[in-house]
Amino acid sequence: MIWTMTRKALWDLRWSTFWYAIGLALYIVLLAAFYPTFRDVGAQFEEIIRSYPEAFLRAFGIEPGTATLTSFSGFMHTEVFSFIWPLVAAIFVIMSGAAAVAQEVERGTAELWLSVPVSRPGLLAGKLLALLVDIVVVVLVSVLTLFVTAPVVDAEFSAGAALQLGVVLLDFLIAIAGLSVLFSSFSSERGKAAAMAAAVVLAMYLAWVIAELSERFEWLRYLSIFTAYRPREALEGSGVSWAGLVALLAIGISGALAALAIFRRRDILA
Amino acid sequence: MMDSHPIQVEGLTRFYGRDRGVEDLCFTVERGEIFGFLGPNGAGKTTTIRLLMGLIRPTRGSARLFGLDSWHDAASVKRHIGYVPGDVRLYEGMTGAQFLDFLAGFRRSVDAARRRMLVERFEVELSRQIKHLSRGNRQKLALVQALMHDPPLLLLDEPSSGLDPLMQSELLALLREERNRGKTIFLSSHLLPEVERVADRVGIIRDGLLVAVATIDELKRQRTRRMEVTFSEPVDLAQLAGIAGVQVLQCREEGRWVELGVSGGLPALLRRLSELPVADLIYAPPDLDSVFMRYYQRQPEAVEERVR
Repeated sequence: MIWTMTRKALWDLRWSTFWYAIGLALYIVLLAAFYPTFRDVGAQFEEIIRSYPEAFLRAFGIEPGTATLTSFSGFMHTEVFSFIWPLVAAIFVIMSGAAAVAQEVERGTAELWLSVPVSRPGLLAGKLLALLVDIVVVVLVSVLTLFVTAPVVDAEFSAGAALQLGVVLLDFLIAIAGLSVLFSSFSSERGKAAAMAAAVVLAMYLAWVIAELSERFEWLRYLSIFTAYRPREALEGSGVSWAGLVALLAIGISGALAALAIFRRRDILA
Repeated sequence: MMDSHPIQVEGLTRFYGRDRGVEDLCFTVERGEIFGFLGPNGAGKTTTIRLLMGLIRPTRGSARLFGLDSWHDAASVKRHIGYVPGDVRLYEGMTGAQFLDFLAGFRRSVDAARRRMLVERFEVELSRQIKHLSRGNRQKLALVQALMHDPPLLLLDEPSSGLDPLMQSELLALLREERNRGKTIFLSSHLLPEVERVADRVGIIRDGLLVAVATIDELKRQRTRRMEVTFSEPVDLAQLAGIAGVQVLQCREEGRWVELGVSGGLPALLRRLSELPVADLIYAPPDLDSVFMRYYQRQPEAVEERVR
């Protein structure tokens, strides 16, 4: 019965999943194609980057003093996975997650949706499963694209690093999905649920930037999912922070469980 | 479970903040009957149906369907229910066939022959996307999904809205057939003639309160229909007021125009009118007002308000 819901949710999200996955993959190919140029003139670029204020670099996830552009992992991290990839993928997940309950209420379909002999948590769980599948697809397409493209531009990107990157990206999106679905569970408009989720994610991003810049506000890092999002180490294949990944997973699962509990008790007043 | 009443409502109350949705509803619907739920728009019909469907929680009281609590056992209850909401909204991106397949996927068994019969009978378009369907066609699709799994209880909120008169008759005929097959039907409507044509009993709701539960025969006996008479010259209204079953509700233009409430004594009234200088006459078709008039009469303030 839950599969019926999952199948429908996958069908609903098929085009946005396709376009986001393809869009991110194309961006990865495009940027990777530029890598040989940057590698050849890397030293000059490193010089330019060193001249930027430290705060500016940190805000974009660049660790001052590291080989930002000359190594493939550093280059892809700076150009793709430190900012653009999480931004675009987060938009996809927020919009999809925010639709789960709020869109059914907003469009008035909730009454027939809830007229079937499946519990509300069962119906929502069916949708969450579909969202998870779509997230895996987007991450898998990005990571495989990078894995296939790297040798073409004469760069090194091992299977181990690909696996680690996949886990980091997946965990990050699961945390965002949990938050989005939570806001959707009590909202009656998809736009409002998405706006609330986006505001929280943005606030977490700012908290992380401030924590990176100021020792006084270092504690803010514990309030942000971006602290645990560390794709650079994964790209290098040098290991992942398991504590951070567990924290991201816990946020995602807690958000989803809270959403199921709220939706179970909610009045549908469409 | 199947020994229990299809619907048993006890003290069912729902407030929206300080506003009353429905209060203290008590009624039982028997197996194999069509129970009409009558009331003007905003009276609490949809709130009642949403409570029965477990879409909203009661403030107090309970609704039990086949002995199961409509809120706590919502998922199990829905195995036995076919539901048409008051404002039918469907998944726009699906075709009619995809929509029916989707909802059938949640049911243990949907008989293909029955589904085909319903689709043909309601002349439903299955191949077009729902967003391209007219309101009537969407309504027909909602009716098919409610009936296709052959549920023992149908909860229908204004099911004929958007249907053309032919299709309305077809729907009422189908509901009678379903009743004859032992199905129970809870039919909410603000159209008295429609309910009178099919229902066995009716519950009348007004301002969130159940005003009466009566059989259709009782209802027909009780209803008071409006008659407006225009005279070419002033007449003595006492001549009309004296007839049993006739009341003067209001008069204007020094007795040249009169509104009567007629609950009986129509032959005597017509005889009397034939002796008077009648210029024009309107006898209103039976509507909800004609039922409510009787209940207004029981509340003097309400009558005064109406006459004013």
